[in-house]
Amino acid sequence: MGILKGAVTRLLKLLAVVLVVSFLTFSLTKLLPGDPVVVLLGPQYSNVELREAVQEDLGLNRPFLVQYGQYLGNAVQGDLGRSYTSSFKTTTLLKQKLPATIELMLLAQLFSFVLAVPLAMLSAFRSNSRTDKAITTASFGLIALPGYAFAVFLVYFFALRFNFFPAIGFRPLSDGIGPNLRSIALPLAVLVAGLTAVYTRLLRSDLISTLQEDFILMARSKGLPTWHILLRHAFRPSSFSLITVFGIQFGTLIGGAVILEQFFVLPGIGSLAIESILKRDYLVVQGVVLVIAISFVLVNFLIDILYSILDPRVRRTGA
Amino acid sequence: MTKPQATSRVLTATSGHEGPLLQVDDFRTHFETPTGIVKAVDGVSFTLKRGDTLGIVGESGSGKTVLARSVMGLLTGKNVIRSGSARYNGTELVGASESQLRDLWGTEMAMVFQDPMTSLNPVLKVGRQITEGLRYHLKLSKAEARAQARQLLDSVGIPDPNRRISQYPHELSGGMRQRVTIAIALACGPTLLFADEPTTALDVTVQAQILDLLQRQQIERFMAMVLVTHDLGVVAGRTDHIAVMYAGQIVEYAPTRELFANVLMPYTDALLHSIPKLSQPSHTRLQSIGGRPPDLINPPSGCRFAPRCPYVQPKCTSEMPPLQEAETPGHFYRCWFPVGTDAGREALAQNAALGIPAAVSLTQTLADKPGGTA
Repeated sequence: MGILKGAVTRLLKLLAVVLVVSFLTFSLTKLLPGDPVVVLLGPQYSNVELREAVQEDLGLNRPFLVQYGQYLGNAVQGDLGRSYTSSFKTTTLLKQKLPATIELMLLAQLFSFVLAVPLAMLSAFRSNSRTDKAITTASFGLIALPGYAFAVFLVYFFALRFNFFPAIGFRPLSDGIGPNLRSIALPLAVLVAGLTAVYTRLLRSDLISTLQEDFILMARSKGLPTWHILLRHAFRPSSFSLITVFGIQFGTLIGGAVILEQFFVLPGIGSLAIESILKRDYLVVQGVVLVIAISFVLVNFLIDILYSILDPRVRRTGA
Repeated sequence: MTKPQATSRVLTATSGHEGPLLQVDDFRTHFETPTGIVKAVDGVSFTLKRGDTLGIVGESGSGKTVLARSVMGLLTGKNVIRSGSARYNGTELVGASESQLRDLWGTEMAMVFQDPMTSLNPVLKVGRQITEGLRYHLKLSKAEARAQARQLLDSVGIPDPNRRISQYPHELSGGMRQRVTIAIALACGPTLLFADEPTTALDVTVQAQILDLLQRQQIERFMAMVLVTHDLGVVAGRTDHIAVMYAGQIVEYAPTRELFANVLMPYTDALLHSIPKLSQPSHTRLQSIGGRPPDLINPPSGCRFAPRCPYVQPKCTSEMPPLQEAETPGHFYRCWFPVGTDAGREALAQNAALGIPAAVSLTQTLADKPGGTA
């Protein structure tokens, strides 16, 4: 039961990571200048009695660790508190905003992976050919170009000039899959372009070194067709750094979502985070960060398991 | 022994009446590099008939591995230039397209590589690496291919094939892995097997086992085998013919027994002297060959071994000796002052008198053991 035991240990470690992240976010929001009570009360802040009442109400006057303990205790039960500014529960806000972000992220990862693998294979198999040079140059350019700059181009051509896609806004899946996809087409294209470029470059260079391996020569000497050698023999041993970065990109994507969601006015958790920070709505900020941390940690946990499936040498033999 | 006569340069491995399985004629493999053209294989000719084994011997960089890979057509890349002729069963391999070659690979010719640690795919189960060729070439079903793979593993001496078939390469020992690569090479029943230093990466204790296995399979399957090695000891009792390569050329070619009995080329002689012998007292200094193989971009204009040769004479550095047939038919060599001839003895004595280090040390070695080759 080597894999299972390894998984349990890893899961415990990840739990520790989530705890540390939640503690750091909690302390940060306390250390930051600015006070949610100021935002809530506005000019009435000078009223000491009112101020203390609000602090009491929000539990902000208790010792720091007690506050954190309470927060954690509630969080475990699925209660992330209420927004200071609106009366919504943090979890309700998250539930509203998560679908757009998750859909965008998953589709971006899916499309870029599916695009990058054949591109990288084409590039690596005929390395230094004209095709390879074109692919390499294009991906290099896309990596160098910041996503928001690319977004401006896309919006100008596909939304303003030709009106193929809406420039801003989001239609949920409940409006139908067509309108939904059209509404996220442009931000999706921005993400896919950047990710595909990164994945292609990464996989290309790993594939090139794998293709030098003796076992590839051996596979060729068996008279196997090229596609078989690329897919069966070369891809798997070349995919480790791709998989690693793929996992990390989930985290980066949520972070990157802040800019992109602002730009395309998408109701995702990036926009939620910004709004809440500006309003000193710290409970919501903490909720957002917690969700990001947990999903990031979970994805990378799955990636770790994927390693041991992809590479039998990583598998631990029974203790 | 008298001076051999210069005759035909064409080597004939056998005088058999059936056509040779592999006929290599003035075969060259050059690599274009930024610093010039590397003449890794430079005009090699030999023939090999079915059921025969040819040993190709030479030190690192002599072109033996390139020769094997390049004859088979495995070297690709824009910088690889193949010329001359290599015919397999009448089919010209030089200039053949990759897809034409692919039809021959696995089913007609196969290769066992040097290092079984790197020549097996680390992420694929042993069974799959054997069955994929069977399924692709012979169109076997999954179950048939698996049964066949089990049989193959059994025939190459792997105990418990049922368990081994679903293991990964890293779960097998080096010797086992090389047995697996041999099983893979044999899977689709090739008639020509290249074994490129198949025991170099293995423990000494399993080297003989692997060589025996190759030999047994070669006889059972009536294959032709090209056994590439740097170790004359490896080919000694196992090949029909030996080709000694130096700097991209064959410098001596003879039936195995004849070669060991009558070495003519000083390079072959030097290789023989560099093998440690059990009869020597321990800590005897090995007779190494001084210097390094020549630059293959601008090889010496005369004999390519001349700069390192104890027998070297002015003629050697200016005129390249042709590959000529000795008194014994079928024994070819490329030397102006062959070992064991009067001319050779004279050249060596002259060099020793001049104090040329290689000649002095060789003369001493020969004096130490009266039964030496000279």
